[in-house]
Amino acid sequence: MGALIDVQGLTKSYGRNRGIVDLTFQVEEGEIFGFLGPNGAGKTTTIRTLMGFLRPTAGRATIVGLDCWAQSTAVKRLVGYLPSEFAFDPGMTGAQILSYLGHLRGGVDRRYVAALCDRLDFDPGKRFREYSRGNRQKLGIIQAFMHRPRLLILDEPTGGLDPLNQQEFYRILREAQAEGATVFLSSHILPEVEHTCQRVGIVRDGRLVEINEVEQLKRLRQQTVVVTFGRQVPSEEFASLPEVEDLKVERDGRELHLHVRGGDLSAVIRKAAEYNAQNLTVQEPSLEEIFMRFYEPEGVGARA
Amino acid sequence: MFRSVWLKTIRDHRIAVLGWSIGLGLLLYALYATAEQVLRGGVAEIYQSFRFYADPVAIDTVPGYITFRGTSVLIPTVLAIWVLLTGARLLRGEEERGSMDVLLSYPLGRVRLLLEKLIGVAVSILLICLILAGFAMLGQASAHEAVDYGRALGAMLNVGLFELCVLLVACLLSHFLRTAGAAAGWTGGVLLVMFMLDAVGRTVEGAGWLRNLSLYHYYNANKPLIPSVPADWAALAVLGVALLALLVINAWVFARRDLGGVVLDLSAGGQREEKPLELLEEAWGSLWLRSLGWRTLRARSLAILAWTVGICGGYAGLLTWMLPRLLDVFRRVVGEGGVLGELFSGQDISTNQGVISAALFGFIPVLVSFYALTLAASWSRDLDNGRMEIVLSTPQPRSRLLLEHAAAVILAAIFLPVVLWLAILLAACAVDLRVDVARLAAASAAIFPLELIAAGLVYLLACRLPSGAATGLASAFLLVSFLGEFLRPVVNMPDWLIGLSIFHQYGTPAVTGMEWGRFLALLAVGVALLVAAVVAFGRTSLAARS
Repeated sequence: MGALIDVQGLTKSYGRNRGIVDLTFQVEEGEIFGFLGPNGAGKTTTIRTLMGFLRPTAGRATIVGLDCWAQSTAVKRLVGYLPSEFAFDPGMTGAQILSYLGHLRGGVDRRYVAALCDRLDFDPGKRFREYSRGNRQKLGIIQAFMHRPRLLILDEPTGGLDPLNQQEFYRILREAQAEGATVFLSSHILPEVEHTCQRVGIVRDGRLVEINEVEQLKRLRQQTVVVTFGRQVPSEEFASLPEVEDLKVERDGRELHLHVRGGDLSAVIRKAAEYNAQNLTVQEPSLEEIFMRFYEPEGVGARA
Repeated sequence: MFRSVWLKTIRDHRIAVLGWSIGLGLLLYALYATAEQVLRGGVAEIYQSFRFYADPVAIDTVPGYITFRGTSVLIPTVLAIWVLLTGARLLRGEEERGSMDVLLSYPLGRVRLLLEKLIGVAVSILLICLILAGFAMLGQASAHEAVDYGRALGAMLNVGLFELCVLLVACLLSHFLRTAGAAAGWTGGVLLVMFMLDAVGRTVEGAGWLRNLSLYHYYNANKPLIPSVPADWAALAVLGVALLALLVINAWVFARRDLGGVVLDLSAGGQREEKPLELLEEAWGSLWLRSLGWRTLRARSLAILAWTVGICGGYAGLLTWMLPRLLDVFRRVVGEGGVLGELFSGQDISTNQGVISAALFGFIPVLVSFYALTLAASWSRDLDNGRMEIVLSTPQPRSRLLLEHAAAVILAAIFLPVVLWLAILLAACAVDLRVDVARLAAASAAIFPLELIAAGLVYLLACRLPSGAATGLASAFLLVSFLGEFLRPVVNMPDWLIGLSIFHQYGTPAVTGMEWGRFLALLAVGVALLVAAVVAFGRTSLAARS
């Protein structure tokens, strides 16, 4: 399958303030793509540019070959969108909001909408102002899925949902994917990304610092290697290896804890063999650890 | 200013205090500054016919005139708009924003919180009163009256007492209603009823007892600006007791009710338990949910009704109904010159049509333009508060969404002038006043382009500016346009400058009939503004405006 979303050199600045800078990535049709980054990194700016709410300062974003700004109406026919904060007329009921949006969108199956309400345990009879944060999020999710869109753009979709409803949301998401939908999802919940997304893009300070498959990211990124020796060894020789990012000496210099980046352990293994290492273990990093490295400010240890 | 709740409350209101006190102060000063001339013109005679409005006591003196025109109804009621909005939002507004939960998570009692907030607003009101008293003294000097700080301060403190009562009524009603907007609306209704009770009690024989139910009656019992009217301590005591009672009830209710909940929730028992599909099917059939245009009409229907009733019934209908009694006096006063003579110079007041043109169509176009402006402002407000984000994510072109909103506003903008025309005809018919039906229709229809310009300006400005700035600038344009035209006979301004006023271009169609050239030119400006707004909105990033 080809790229459904194609972003080339996308830049959006607000006067002197940075928005996003020179983003380039593609999202393949049928995949669930996670978009991650700390607060203010540029996730929502990217999403709002894809939705045609913001005019790019430079570069281009297309969905199915349609320009997100110039052909935004055609793009929106394909998209189901959930904003980070779902706001609406506080006096309208959930049913009225869904009906109103259904009329504006067209092609909505009311039975499917009712089924979504049942599955998420959502009461459409209340007024918007009476809904809790979680229920507002459910309403947002239902309106995003209700027309079975080809592309779902979801900004923090599980914020405020309880664990049971989160699980139901994941099931609905997988069903949508099984029916051929593509999902572009921004999230802070790392296990959610780990379990639902095939690929992840990480944005920091408006720039894309990493884009890879989740499994590949875990493999390629920093690994913790613990090497045990029968005697004290010169730790500076290990620290000087280009792949070693961080080193801690334990047990009077007989055990080294090394943070190795890039996934290539051969230099570390060769050096350990030189000093007759007795034991060598490699620990897979959790996704959270990987992200924390990317989220750290420049100069504190972030590589990119 | 962040050391306590009451200090922060004062800080929150600092701009409102300055704005309202300077605005109302200038109004008060203007009344004083023109009082001598107006009184020389014999206007006191006209005001004798307006007893439903206020007590015409010592109306032929400057203090009596200022009391009648300014401090009886106008100043306390206008200031009450801010006060009732503040009172309604005092607690309910915080609850709606969710900040009340945070405030009360600190070791701060509910009653203390309420009292601190009330003290903050009370100090703000006091500051407004002090500034107004300053303007009153300047006014006294300009009217060649003895500057009497005691009387000026007394009059303004009396206003303050009235406003405190309104504040506590609004706050009390907010305990019973789910939104601050509803509480403000109900308080406005209560004020209107109280005004009517006082007015009816004053003018209808045998109905005097009704006045005892009105806040306006107790407030107006004291007229500190007029030396011949002695202090009415009993009325002051009634206001004091009412204040105390309202304060105690407010504290008692707030200490006992759920946060975010309402007292006497009548809707809870009537909750319908229907399945989602049934609810959806029912909503799906509603006409009002089929498009943005219909939805806008539905959402603004109360505002449309209120403005229409207010302008057509309350102003145009009532004034037309009273016109036969005022015609002779009005003609004589204007004919004798003075300020009124200057203001209405160029108007042919020898005919009924001329008087209607001067008395009604001199002001109604401004009011109706503001009506259109406030309707269009709902578009910019919704853009600001994020309510349009989901609507804009549907496959509807931006131009269509804006045009649908504008279509709803245009429909409402046509509706009001039509009702206005009918209201004047009905009132004229009721009092057997001869009017020119076709020219009245022309005068009403000619207002439409003005409404279109006001709305188009808001739409255009809202593409780039936040809602407050967009409506503020559009309002300023209307205000300057009106003042330019209204004060034209008094202030010499170059013709080209006056020509920029849309109200000057409106002309006097009630007398001359439809002036098609002007009508079409104004219509073209309105359409051009709307087209420019549609084009600009299509090209604007939605985040760049806030």
